[in-house]
Amino acid sequence: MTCADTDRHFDEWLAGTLSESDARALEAHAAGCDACGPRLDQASLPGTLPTEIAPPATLRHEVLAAIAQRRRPHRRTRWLISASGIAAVLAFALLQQPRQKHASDRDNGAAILYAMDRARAEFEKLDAAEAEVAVALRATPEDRSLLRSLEDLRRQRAQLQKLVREAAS
Amino acid sequence: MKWIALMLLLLASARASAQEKVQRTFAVGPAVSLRIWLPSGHVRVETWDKDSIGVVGSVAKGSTFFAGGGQTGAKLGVEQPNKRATTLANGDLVVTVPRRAQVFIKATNAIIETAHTYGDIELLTVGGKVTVEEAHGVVSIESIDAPIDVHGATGIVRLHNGGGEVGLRDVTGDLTVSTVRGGVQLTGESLGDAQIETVGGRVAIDGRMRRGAFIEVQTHDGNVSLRFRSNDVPLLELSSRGGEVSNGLGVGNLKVGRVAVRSFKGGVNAGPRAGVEGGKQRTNP
Repeated sequence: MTCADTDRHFDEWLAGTLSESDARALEAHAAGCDACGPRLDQASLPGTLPTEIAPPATLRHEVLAAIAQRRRPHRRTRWLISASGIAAVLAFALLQQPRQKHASDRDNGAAILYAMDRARAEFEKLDAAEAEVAVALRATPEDRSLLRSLEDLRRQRAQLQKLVREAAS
Repeated sequence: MKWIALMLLLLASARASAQEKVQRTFAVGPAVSLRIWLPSGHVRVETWDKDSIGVVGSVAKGSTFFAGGGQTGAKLGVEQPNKRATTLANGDLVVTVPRRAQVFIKATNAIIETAHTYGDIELLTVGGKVTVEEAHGVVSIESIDAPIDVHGATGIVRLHNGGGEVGLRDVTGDLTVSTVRGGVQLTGESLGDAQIETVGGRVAIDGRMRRGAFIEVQTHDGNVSLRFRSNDVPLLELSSRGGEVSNGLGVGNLKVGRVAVRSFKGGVNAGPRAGVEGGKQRTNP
Protein backbone atom coordinates (compact mmCIF):
# COMPACT_ATOMS: atom_id res chain seq x y z
CA MET A 1 0.00 0.00 0.00
CA THR A 2 1.11 3.54 -0.76
CA CYS A 3 -0.30 6.98 0.04
CA ALA A 4 -1.90 6.97 -3.42
CA ASP A 5 -3.61 3.66 -2.60
CA THR A 6 -4.90 5.19 0.63
CA ASP A 7 -6.40 8.05 -1.39
CA ARG A 8 -8.01 5.61 -3.79
CA HIS A 9 -9.46 3.29 -1.14
CA PHE A 10 -10.14 5.74 1.67
CA ASP A 11 -13.88 6.05 1.10
CA GLU A 12 -14.34 2.30 0.84
CA TRP A 13 -12.32 1.80 4.01
CA LEU A 14 -14.41 4.36 5.87
CA ALA A 15 -17.65 2.80 4.65
CA GLY A 16 -16.44 -0.67 5.63
CA THR A 17 -16.80 -2.00 2.10
CA LEU A 18 -13.09 -2.55 1.47
CA SER A 19 -12.06 -6.20 1.55
CA GLU A 20 -10.60 -7.37 4.83
CA SER A 21 -7.13 -7.97 3.40
CA ASP A 22 -7.04 -4.57 1.67
CA ALA A 23 -8.32 -2.85 4.80
CA ARG A 24 -5.60 -4.47 6.86
CA ALA A 25 -2.96 -3.51 4.31
CA LEU A 26 -4.22 0.07 4.28
CA GLU A 27 -4.22 0.25 8.07
CA ALA A 28 -0.75 -1.28 8.22
CA HIS A 29 0.50 1.39 5.83
CA ALA A 30 -1.27 4.15 7.78
CA ALA A 31 0.20 2.94 11.06
CA GLY A 32 3.66 3.82 9.83
CA CYS A 33 2.81 6.82 7.68
CA ASP A 34 2.77 10.34 9.08
CA ALA A 35 0.38 11.55 6.37
CA CYS A 36 -2.13 8.69 6.25
CA GLY A 37 -2.12 7.70 9.95
CA PRO A 38 -3.69 10.90 11.31
CA ARG A 39 -6.13 10.91 8.39
CA LEU A 40 -7.49 7.49 9.32
CA ASP A 41 -7.51 8.34 13.03
CA GLN A 42 -9.34 11.59 12.42
CA ALA A 43 -11.89 9.94 10.15
CA SER A 44 -12.66 7.38 12.85
CA LEU A 45 -13.58 10.00 15.42
CA PRO A 46 -17.24 10.68 16.12
CA GLY A 47 -18.56 13.68 14.30
CA THR A 48 -16.21 13.26 11.36
CA LEU A 49 -18.11 10.57 9.53
CA PRO A 50 -19.42 11.49 6.11
CA THR A 51 -23.00 12.63 6.08
CA GLU A 52 -24.28 9.60 4.19
CA ILE A 53 -23.40 7.30 7.10
CA ALA A 54 -23.85 9.75 9.95
CA PRO A 55 -26.44 8.64 12.50
CA PRO A 56 -30.01 9.83 11.98
CA ALA A 57 -31.13 12.32 14.64
CA THR A 58 -33.86 10.01 15.98
CA LEU A 59 -31.44 7.16 16.44
CA ARG A 60 -29.12 9.30 18.51
CA HIS A 61 -32.04 10.42 20.64
CA GLU A 62 -33.10 6.83 21.24
CA VAL A 63 -29.62 5.73 22.22
CA LEU A 64 -29.22 8.71 24.54
CA ALA A 65 -32.57 8.02 26.16
CA ALA A 66 -31.62 4.40 26.78
CA ILE A 67 -28.27 5.39 28.22
CA ALA A 68 -29.81 8.13 30.40
CA GLN A 69 -31.53 5.49 32.50
CA ARG A 70 -28.21 4.40 33.91
CA ARG A 71 -26.09 7.53 33.80
CA ARG A 72 -25.13 9.74 36.71
CA PRO A 73 -26.12 13.42 36.40
CA HIS A 74 -22.64 14.94 36.69
CA ARG A 75 -21.41 12.86 33.80
CA ARG A 76 -23.85 14.24 31.31
CA THR A 77 -21.23 15.82 29.06
CA ARG A 78 -19.12 12.66 28.99
CA TRP A 79 -22.15 10.57 28.14
CA LEU A 80 -23.08 12.85 25.28
CA ILE A 81 -19.62 12.38 23.81
CA SER A 82 -19.66 8.63 24.41
CA ALA A 83 -23.19 8.25 23.14
CA SER A 84 -22.46 10.13 19.95
CA GLY A 85 -19.56 7.75 19.32
CA ILE A 86 -21.72 4.74 20.03
CA ALA A 87 -24.56 6.13 17.92
CA ALA A 88 -22.20 6.65 15.00
CA VAL A 89 -21.03 3.06 15.28
CA LEU A 90 -24.61 1.81 15.56
CA ALA A 91 -25.69 3.78 12.53
CA PHE A 92 -22.76 2.42 10.59
CA ALA A 93 -23.67 -1.11 11.62
CA LEU A 94 -27.33 -0.70 10.73
CA LEU A 95 -26.41 0.64 7.34
CA GLN A 96 -24.43 -2.52 6.73
CA GLN A 97 -27.49 -4.71 7.27
CA PRO A 98 -28.99 -4.62 3.75
CA ARG A 99 -25.74 -6.00 2.33
CA GLN A 100 -25.71 -8.97 4.65
CA LYS A 101 -26.78 -12.23 3.06
CA HIS A 102 -25.73 -15.06 5.33
CA ALA A 103 -28.17 -16.39 7.90
CA SER A 104 -25.61 -15.87 10.65
CA ASP A 105 -25.79 -12.14 10.01
CA ARG A 106 -29.16 -12.14 11.75
CA ASP A 107 -27.23 -12.36 14.96
CA ASN A 108 -25.70 -8.99 14.24
CA GLY A 109 -28.51 -6.96 15.75
CA ALA A 110 -27.99 -8.62 19.11
CA ALA A 111 -24.22 -8.55 18.63
CA ILE A 112 -24.00 -4.82 18.01
CA LEU A 113 -26.22 -4.01 20.99
CA TYR A 114 -24.17 -6.31 23.18
CA ALA A 115 -20.92 -4.78 21.89
CA MET A 116 -22.16 -1.25 22.52
CA ASP A 117 -23.23 -2.12 26.02
CA ARG A 118 -19.87 -3.68 26.84
CA ALA A 119 -17.92 -0.83 25.21
CA ARG A 120 -19.70 1.92 27.11
CA ALA A 121 -17.40 1.86 30.13
CA GLU A 122 -14.37 1.93 27.84
CA PHE A 123 -15.62 4.98 25.96
CA GLU A 124 -16.26 6.65 29.32
CA LYS A 125 -12.73 5.91 30.47
CA LEU A 126 -11.30 7.33 27.26
CA ASP A 127 -13.45 10.45 27.61
CA ALA A 128 -12.22 11.02 31.14
CA ALA A 129 -8.57 10.51 30.17
CA GLU A 130 -8.85 12.80 27.15
CA ALA A 131 -10.47 15.49 29.31
CA GLU A 132 -7.60 15.33 31.82
CA VAL A 133 -4.96 15.60 29.13
CA ALA A 134 -6.85 18.47 27.51
CA VAL A 135 -6.87 20.37 30.81
CA ALA A 136 -3.12 19.85 31.18
CA LEU A 137 -2.60 21.00 27.61
CA ARG A 138 -4.32 24.29 28.33
CA ALA A 139 -1.51 25.10 30.74
CA THR A 140 1.26 23.95 28.39
CA PRO A 141 -0.13 23.87 24.86
CA GLU A 142 3.22 23.05 23.25
CA ASP A 143 4.01 20.09 25.47
CA ARG A 144 4.91 17.34 23.00
CA SER A 145 4.46 14.59 25.52
CA LEU A 146 0.89 15.69 26.20
CA LEU A 147 0.14 16.11 22.53
CA ARG A 148 1.40 12.58 21.95
CA SER A 149 -0.74 11.29 24.83
CA LEU A 150 -3.83 12.92 23.35
CA GLU A 151 -3.03 11.46 19.96
CA ASP A 152 -2.58 8.01 21.51
CA LEU A 153 -5.90 8.25 23.34
CA ARG A 154 -7.66 9.20 20.13
CA ARG A 155 -6.04 6.30 18.35
CA GLN A 156 -7.27 3.96 21.06
CA ARG A 157 -10.77 5.38 20.69
CA ALA A 158 -10.60 4.73 16.95
CA GLN A 159 -9.47 1.15 17.64
CA LEU A 160 -12.39 0.60 19.98
CA GLN A 161 -14.86 2.02 17.48
CA LYS A 162 -13.41 -0.24 14.82
CA LEU A 163 -13.83 -3.19 17.13
CA VAL A 164 -17.49 -2.43 17.77
CA ARG A 165 -17.99 -2.04 14.02
CA GLU A 166 -16.29 -5.36 13.36
CA ALA A 167 -18.57 -7.05 15.87
CA ALA A 168 -21.46 -6.16 13.62
CA SER A 169 -19.88 -6.71 10.23
CA MET B 1 -33.65 -37.56 48.65
CA LYS B 2 -34.63 -40.08 45.98
CA TRP B 3 -37.20 -37.65 44.62
CA ILE B 4 -34.66 -34.84 44.45
CA ALA B 5 -32.18 -37.10 42.67
CA LEU B 6 -34.89 -38.17 40.21
CA MET B 7 -35.87 -34.56 39.54
CA LEU B 8 -32.24 -33.61 38.92
CA LEU B 9 -31.89 -36.55 36.53
CA LEU B 10 -35.01 -35.52 34.64
CA LEU B 11 -33.78 -31.94 34.41
CA ALA B 12 -30.41 -33.10 33.12
CA SER B 13 -32.12 -35.30 30.52
CA ALA B 14 -34.32 -32.42 29.39
CA ARG B 15 -31.25 -30.22 29.05
CA ALA B 16 -29.40 -32.87 27.10
CA SER B 17 -32.31 -33.35 24.73
CA ALA B 18 -32.40 -29.59 24.15
CA GLN B 19 -29.02 -29.87 22.45
CA GLU B 20 -28.15 -31.33 19.08
CA LYS B 21 -24.96 -33.31 18.74
CA VAL B 22 -22.44 -32.42 16.08
CA GLN B 23 -19.87 -34.75 14.60
CA ARG B 24 -18.33 -33.93 11.24
CA THR B 25 -15.05 -34.49 9.42
CA PHE B 26 -14.09 -33.12 6.03
CA ALA B 27 -10.92 -33.05 3.95
CA VAL B 28 -8.92 -29.85 3.51
CA GLY B 29 -5.39 -28.80 2.59
CA PRO B 30 -2.56 -28.77 5.15
CA ALA B 31 -2.46 -24.96 5.32
CA VAL B 32 -6.19 -24.36 5.01
CA SER B 33 -7.63 -21.03 6.04
CA LEU B 34 -10.54 -21.76 8.36
CA ARG B 35 -13.17 -19.28 9.50
CA ILE B 36 -15.23 -20.15 12.55
CA TRP B 37 -18.35 -18.29 13.50
CA LEU B 38 -19.74 -18.83 17.01
CA PRO B 39 -21.93 -16.09 18.50
CA SER B 40 -21.97 -17.65 21.97
CA GLY B 41 -20.88 -20.80 23.73
CA HIS B 42 -17.50 -22.47 23.72
CA VAL B 43 -15.02 -23.40 21.01
CA ARG B 44 -11.69 -25.15 21.40
CA VAL B 45 -9.28 -25.45 18.50
CA GLU B 46 -6.69 -28.22 18.56
CA THR B 47 -4.35 -29.48 15.87
CA TRP B 48 -3.38 -32.82 14.39
CA ASP B 49 -1.20 -34.23 11.62
CA LYS B 50 -4.04 -34.92 9.21
CA ASP B 51 -5.30 -32.99 6.21
CA SER B 52 -8.82 -32.74 7.50
CA ILE B 53 -10.97 -30.81 9.92
CA GLY B 54 -12.85 -32.66 12.63
CA VAL B 55 -15.67 -31.15 14.65
CA VAL B 56 -17.38 -32.69 17.66
CA GLY B 57 -19.73 -31.06 20.13
CA SER B 58 -23.25 -29.81 20.30
CA VAL B 59 -25.44 -26.86 19.39
CA ALA B 60 -28.24 -25.44 21.49
CA LYS B 61 -31.86 -25.96 20.59
CA GLY B 62 -32.86 -23.49 17.91
CA SER B 63 -29.31 -23.08 16.63
CA THR B 64 -27.95 -24.92 13.61
CA PHE B 65 -24.47 -26.04 12.67
CA PHE B 66 -22.93 -25.42 9.27
CA ALA B 67 -19.59 -26.46 7.79
CA GLY B 68 -17.92 -26.73 4.42
CA GLY B 69 -14.82 -25.98 2.45
CA GLY B 70 -12.04 -27.26 0.25
CA GLN B 71 -8.28 -27.41 0.00
CA THR B 72 -7.50 -23.78 0.71
CA GLY B 73 -10.51 -22.41 2.55
CA ALA B 74 -13.19 -23.67 4.90
CA LYS B 75 -15.74 -22.30 7.27
CA LEU B 76 -17.94 -23.63 10.00
CA GLY B 77 -20.05 -22.33 12.79
CA VAL B 78 -23.35 -22.04 14.53
CA GLU B 79 -26.16 -19.80 13.41
CA GLN B 80 -29.66 -18.84 14.43
CA PRO B 81 -32.08 -19.60 11.57
CA ASN B 82 -35.10 -18.17 13.35
CA LYS B 83 -35.39 -14.54 12.34
CA ARG B 84 -37.47 -13.70 15.40
CA ALA B 85 -35.06 -15.24 17.90
CA THR B 86 -33.74 -12.80 20.45
CA THR B 87 -30.89 -14.93 21.71
CA LEU B 88 -27.51 -15.51 20.15
CA ALA B 89 -26.84 -18.82 18.43
CA ASN B 90 -25.02 -21.09 20.84
CA GLY B 91 -22.73 -24.08 20.52
CA ASP B 92 -20.04 -26.07 22.23
CA LEU B 93 -17.46 -27.26 19.70
CA VAL B 94 -14.06 -28.90 19.66
CA VAL B 95 -12.49 -28.28 16.27
CA THR B 96 -9.35 -30.15 15.25
CA VAL B 97 -7.45 -28.67 12.33
CA PRO B 98 -4.26 -29.43 10.39
CA ARG B 99 -1.25 -28.21 12.36
CA ARG B 100 -0.41 -25.40 9.93
CA ALA B 101 -3.99 -24.22 9.40
CA GLN B 102 -4.76 -20.53 9.68
CA VAL B 103 -7.72 -20.02 11.95
CA PHE B 104 -10.01 -17.03 12.23
CA ILE B 105 -12.69 -17.13 14.93
CA LYS B 106 -15.39 -14.57 15.33
CA ALA B 107 -17.64 -14.64 18.38
CA THR B 108 -19.81 -12.30 20.36
CA ASN B 109 -19.81 -13.77 23.83
CA ALA B 110 -17.94 -17.05 23.81
CA ILE B 111 -15.13 -18.92 25.47
CA ILE B 112 -12.41 -19.41 22.88
CA GLU B 113 -9.45 -21.72 23.38
CA THR B 114 -6.66 -22.66 21.00
CA ALA B 115 -3.76 -25.01 21.62
CA HIS B 116 -0.59 -26.08 19.79
CA THR B 117 -1.18 -24.11 16.63
CA TYR B 118 1.51 -23.44 14.02
CA GLY B 119 -0.48 -21.32 11.58
CA ASP B 120 -1.65 -17.76 12.20
CA ILE B 121 -4.65 -17.32 14.43
CA GLU B 122 -6.98 -14.35 14.55
CA LEU B 123 -9.65 -14.14 17.25
CA LEU B 124 -12.36 -11.54 17.59
CA THR B 125 -14.93 -11.49 20.38
CA VAL B 126 -16.83 -8.88 22.31
CA GLY B 127 -16.97 -10.74 25.63
CA GLY B 128 -16.40 -14.20 27.02
CA LYS B 129 -12.86 -15.46 27.53
CA VAL B 130 -9.88 -16.17 25.30
CA THR B 131 -7.08 -18.62 26.04
CA VAL B 132 -4.22 -19.30 23.66
CA GLU B 133 -1.67 -22.00 24.48
CA GLU B 134 1.49 -22.80 22.55
CA ALA B 135 0.96 -20.70 19.44
CA HIS B 136 3.79 -20.62 16.91
CA GLY B 137 2.30 -18.39 14.21
CA VAL B 138 1.11 -14.81 14.35
CA VAL B 139 -1.52 -14.32 17.05
CA SER B 140 -4.00 -11.50 16.72
CA ILE B 141 -6.74 -11.05 19.31
CA GLU B 142 -9.31 -8.29 19.57
CA SER B 143 -11.92 -7.99 22.27
CA ILE B 144 -13.93 -5.43 24.18
CA ASP B 145 -13.91 -6.96 27.61
CA ALA B 146 -12.98 -10.63 27.45
CA PRO B 147 -10.09 -11.70 29.69
CA ILE B 148 -7.24 -12.88 27.46
CA ASP B 149 -4.56 -15.38 28.44
CA VAL B 150 -1.68 -16.25 26.17
CA HIS B 151 1.00 -18.66 27.25
CA GLY B 152 3.76 -20.00 25.14
CA ALA B 153 3.71 -17.87 21.97
CA THR B 154 6.78 -17.74 19.77
CA GLY B 155 5.46 -15.61 16.92
CA ILE B 156 4.22 -12.06 16.73
CA VAL B 157 1.39 -11.35 19.19
CA ARG B 158 -0.99 -8.43 18.75
CA LEU B 159 -3.77 -7.80 21.28
CA HIS B 160 -6.38 -5.09 21.52
CA ASN B 161 -8.71 -5.18 24.48
CA GLY B 162 -11.03 -2.81 26.27
CA GLY B 163 -11.78 -3.76 29.84
CA GLY B 164 -10.62 -7.37 29.95
CA GLU B 165 -7.47 -8.40 31.80
CA VAL B 166 -4.58 -9.61 29.67
CA GLY B 167 -2.22 -12.30 30.98
CA LEU B 168 0.91 -13.14 28.96
CA ARG B 169 3.29 -15.89 29.98
CA ASP B 170 6.37 -17.01 28.05
CA VAL B 171 5.62 -14.86 25.03
CA THR B 172 8.94 -14.61 23.22
CA GLY B 173 7.91 -13.04 19.91
CA ASP B 174 7.30 -9.36 19.31
CA LEU B 175 4.37 -8.22 21.37
CA THR B 176 1.92 -5.34 21.00
CA VAL B 177 -0.81 -4.89 23.60
CA SER B 178 -3.35 -2.14 23.87
CA THR B 179 -6.14 -1.92 26.44
CA VAL B 180 -8.43 0.73 27.85
CA ARG B 181 -9.18 -0.42 31.41
CA GLY B 182 -7.81 -3.93 31.31
CA GLY B 183 -4.65 -4.72 33.23
CA VAL B 184 -1.67 -6.38 31.55
CA GLN B 185 0.53 -8.96 33.24
CA LEU B 186 3.67 -10.06 31.40
CA THR B 187 5.85 -12.81 32.81
CA GLY B 188 8.57 -15.01 31.35
CA GLU B 189 12.24 -15.89 31.31
CA SER B 190 12.95 -14.52 27.84
CA LEU B 191 10.87 -11.38 27.39
CA GLY B 192 11.19 -10.01 23.86
CA ASP B 193 10.37 -6.66 22.32
CA ALA B 194 7.05 -5.40 23.61
CA GLN B 195 4.88 -2.36 23.33
CA ILE B 196 2.24 -2.14 26.05
CA GLU B 197 -0.28 0.64 26.11
CA THR B 198 -3.20 1.07 28.48
CA VAL B 199 -5.34 3.95 29.62
CA GLY B 200 -6.28 2.80 33.10
CA GLY B 201 -5.12 -0.78 33.43
CA ARG B 202 -2.36 -1.88 35.78
CA VAL B 203 0.78 -3.15 34.05
CA ALA B 204 2.91 -5.75 35.81
CA ILE B 205 6.10 -7.12 34.27
CA ASP B 206 7.96 -9.86 36.09
CA GLY B 207 10.76 -11.81 34.47
CA ARG B 208 14.00 -11.77 32.59
CA MET B 209 14.65 -10.00 29.32
CA ARG B 210 16.12 -11.41 26.17
CA ARG B 211 19.45 -9.65 25.49
CA GLY B 212 18.88 -6.37 23.70
CA ALA B 213 15.10 -6.48 23.96
CA PHE B 214 13.13 -3.26 24.37
CA ILE B 215 9.90 -3.00 26.32
CA GLU B 216 7.91 0.20 26.07
CA VAL B 217 5.03 0.85 28.47
CA GLN B 218 2.62 3.73 28.35
CA THR B 219 -0.34 4.41 30.65
CA HIS B 220 -2.64 7.26 31.47
CA ASP B 221 -3.43 6.50 35.09
CA GLY B 222 -2.62 2.82 35.31
CA ASN B 223 0.13 1.88 37.78
CA VAL B 224 3.19 0.07 36.49
CA SER B 225 5.12 -2.57 38.41
CA LEU B 226 8.47 -3.89 37.15
CA ARG B 227 10.17 -6.89 38.72
CA PHE B 228 13.61 -8.04 37.57
CA ARG B 229 16.43 -9.95 39.20
CA SER B 230 18.70 -7.50 40.95
CA ASN B 231 21.80 -8.71 39.07
CA ASP B 232 20.07 -8.65 35.71
CA VAL B 233 18.40 -5.27 35.44
CA PRO B 234 17.71 -3.71 32.03
CA LEU B 235 18.23 -0.02 31.46
CA LEU B 236 15.23 1.65 33.11
CA GLU B 237 13.75 4.92 31.90
CA LEU B 238 10.81 5.66 34.17
CA SER B 239 8.67 8.77 34.16
CA SER B 240 5.25 9.86 35.35
CA ARG B 241 3.86 13.36 35.15
CA GLY B 242 1.60 13.07 38.18
CA GLY B 243 2.36 9.70 39.74
CA GLU B 244 5.02 8.52 42.11
CA VAL B 245 8.10 6.87 40.62
CA SER B 246 10.16 4.55 42.82
CA ASN B 247 13.11 2.57 41.56
CA GLY B 248 14.67 -0.03 43.81
CA LEU B 249 16.77 -1.53 41.03
CA GLY B 250 18.98 1.33 39.90
CA VAL B 251 19.49 2.56 36.37
CA GLY B 252 20.28 -0.89 34.95
CA ASN B 253 22.32 -2.03 32.00
CA LEU B 254 21.55 -1.52 28.33
CA LYS B 255 23.25 -4.82 27.50
CA VAL B 256 20.56 -6.64 29.45
CA GLY B 257 17.79 -4.77 27.65
CA ARG B 258 15.82 -1.56 27.93
CA VAL B 259 12.50 -0.70 29.53
CA ALA B 260 10.89 2.71 29.03
CA VAL B 261 7.80 3.59 31.05
CA ARG B 262 5.81 6.75 30.52
CA SER B 263 2.65 7.59 32.45
CA PHE B 264 0.42 10.62 32.76
CA LYS B 265 -0.47 10.10 36.40
CA GLY B 266 0.03 6.43 37.18
CA GLY B 267 2.58 5.29 39.73
CA VAL B 268 5.70 3.43 38.60
CA ASN B 269 7.48 0.98 40.86
CA ALA B 270 10.58 -1.08 40.04
CA GLY B 271 11.96 -3.70 42.41
CA PRO B 272 13.51 -7.15 42.70
CA ARG B 273 11.52 -10.25 41.86
CA ALA B 274 9.85 -11.93 44.78
CA GLY B 275 11.50 -15.18 45.80
CA VAL B 276 14.50 -14.60 43.54
CA GLU B 277 17.77 -13.25 44.90
CA GLY B 278 20.65 -12.44 42.58
CA GLY B 279 19.54 -14.92 39.98
CA LYS B 280 19.10 -17.90 42.29
CA GLN B 281 15.79 -19.15 43.49
CA ARG B 282 15.45 -18.85 47.26
CA THR B 283 15.14 -22.16 49.00
CA ASN B 284 14.02 -22.89 52.48
CA PRO B 285 16.80 -24.11 54.83
